[in-house]
Amino acid sequence: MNLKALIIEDEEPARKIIKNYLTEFNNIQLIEELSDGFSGVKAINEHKPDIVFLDIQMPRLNGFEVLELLEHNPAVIFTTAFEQYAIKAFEVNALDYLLKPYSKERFCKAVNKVIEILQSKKTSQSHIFVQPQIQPAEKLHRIAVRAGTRIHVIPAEDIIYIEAQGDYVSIHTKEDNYLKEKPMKYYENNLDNENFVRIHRSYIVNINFINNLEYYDKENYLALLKNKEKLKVSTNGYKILREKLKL
Amino acid sequence: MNHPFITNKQLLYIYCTIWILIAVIHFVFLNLFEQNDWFINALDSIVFNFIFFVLGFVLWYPMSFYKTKESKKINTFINHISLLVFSGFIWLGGAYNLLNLLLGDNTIYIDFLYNSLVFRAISGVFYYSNMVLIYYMLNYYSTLQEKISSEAKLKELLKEAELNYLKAQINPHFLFNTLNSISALTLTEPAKAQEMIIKLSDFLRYVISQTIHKPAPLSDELENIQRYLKIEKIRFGTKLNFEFNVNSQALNKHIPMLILQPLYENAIKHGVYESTTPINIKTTIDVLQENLIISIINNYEKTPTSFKSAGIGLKNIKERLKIMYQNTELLKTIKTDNQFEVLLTIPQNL
Repeated sequence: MNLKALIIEDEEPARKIIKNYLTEFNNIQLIEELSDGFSGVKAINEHKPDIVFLDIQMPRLNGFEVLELLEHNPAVIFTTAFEQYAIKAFEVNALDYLLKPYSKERFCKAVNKVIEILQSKKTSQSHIFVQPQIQPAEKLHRIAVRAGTRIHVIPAEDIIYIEAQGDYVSIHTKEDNYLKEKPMKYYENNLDNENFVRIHRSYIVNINFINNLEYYDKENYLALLKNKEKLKVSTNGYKILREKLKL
Repeated sequence: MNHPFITNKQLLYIYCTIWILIAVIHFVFLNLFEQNDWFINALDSIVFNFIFFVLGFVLWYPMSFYKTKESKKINTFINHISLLVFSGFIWLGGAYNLLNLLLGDNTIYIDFLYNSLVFRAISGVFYYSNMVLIYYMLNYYSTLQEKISSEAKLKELLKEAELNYLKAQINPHFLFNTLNSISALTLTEPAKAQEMIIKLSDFLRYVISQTIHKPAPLSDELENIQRYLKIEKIRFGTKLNFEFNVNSQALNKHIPMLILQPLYENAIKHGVYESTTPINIKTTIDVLQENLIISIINNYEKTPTSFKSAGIGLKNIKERLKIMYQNTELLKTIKTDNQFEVLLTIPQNL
């Protein structure tokens, strides 16, 4: 079985070592090497590789953000000097996690494991690479979204509100709205809750964009936003908002 | 420059009590040795002592002014003499005229008052000296307290800085990535790998052997920073470029240890880590009026999430400089659209 591999890694020597170790495997063909997250996402979606060697700390998009933006889900082996990301890496279904510097034996073990899984997948047609659900270790300070072929990185402070839309959320900013396949709960938990409040089943709002609260009808309020939009506020949401805005 | 009696109410009570005591003693003495009415003696005591009570309170302000001016001893002496003459004039003149106004028709008393002025002047000098002494002691005590607390704070900060320094220099991220680079080089370019191991060893040795309590010659610090940058250069290749313009006069000036290192880490973290294009770190060091002037400029790639704050590293350095030199203006950052500059002034008179 011939496998296609990609390396996404911003340091040259680190790419070199993977290339060097990969010569052990005649059936793995290295298609491309990328040095940042943006071009990494593009290359994966374009080449649909079987295996990706992915660094975590990289310019523009980090390794986890890369995974969020993929249309195609390859087998991922993380390579990083950060051991604190190991748990998170397995949560996103990384097949292995190589701590730099790693030996050739360790590397081969990881690749062999991937080959084995890929072969069983081919025969059984089972779908093992599910869409990742990541719980970041720290609060989100940006969200990477894909709009067509373009990738946008939205700073958290630019988000006006997030609206639930079925399996998706719609992220509203001054410039545009962006769709992202993630549950509301994820953003409720991971955006910093000093600024972001779940005011309703369908809305998480950035309180810096709230102009006013308006009485609507019994027990119900509307949040008037700086961009003139109005959002429904639930009773519970109103309670939290009053606390945050010190009303 | 807060009056100690205002900031510390207890001192004010003691001050009041002492003056009431003095006034009572004054009154008793007059009653024992002079033939005036007790009422006149009381008035005498109240007028003289109350005026000095107020004067003594106010005296603190010119005194604390002398202290902050840090003038020469002879000047301080002259200042005190003139202050003494001035306040003596107000005291005796004020009290004499006031009593003259109130009891002008009692010629016996006025005579006594006139004759006793010399004696009162002597006691005034005595009061004044005591006040000065007390104020000096209070001042000395409060500066001592301040010194002790700022020294303790400095020690704590140094300890923390030392720890952070070790952590930052031998930052696992830096160390393991470097080791990974070396591991790659051993396969392809063994000679270069060896060179890198030696650089890393020198770097680690420098970091471990240094204590941060005394300023180091700039040349030592720079040498180590170049080592650090060369190691990072092997990792990042053409993405990291650096350039040094150092006035040779600056090399034997002194600089607190670890002040520079975090600035380069910062430049690499915000510049190189987050960029896909080459980043230049340009360092210019000069001497201006005996101070070291250090400018570190790096360009960075502008993205919507480019760093917004200067970061905790810079804040720590600022805090340290503030404590070491009592100056908050030594570290400045200038951020433009694609360039970040740190401007550092290191005084040499520590």
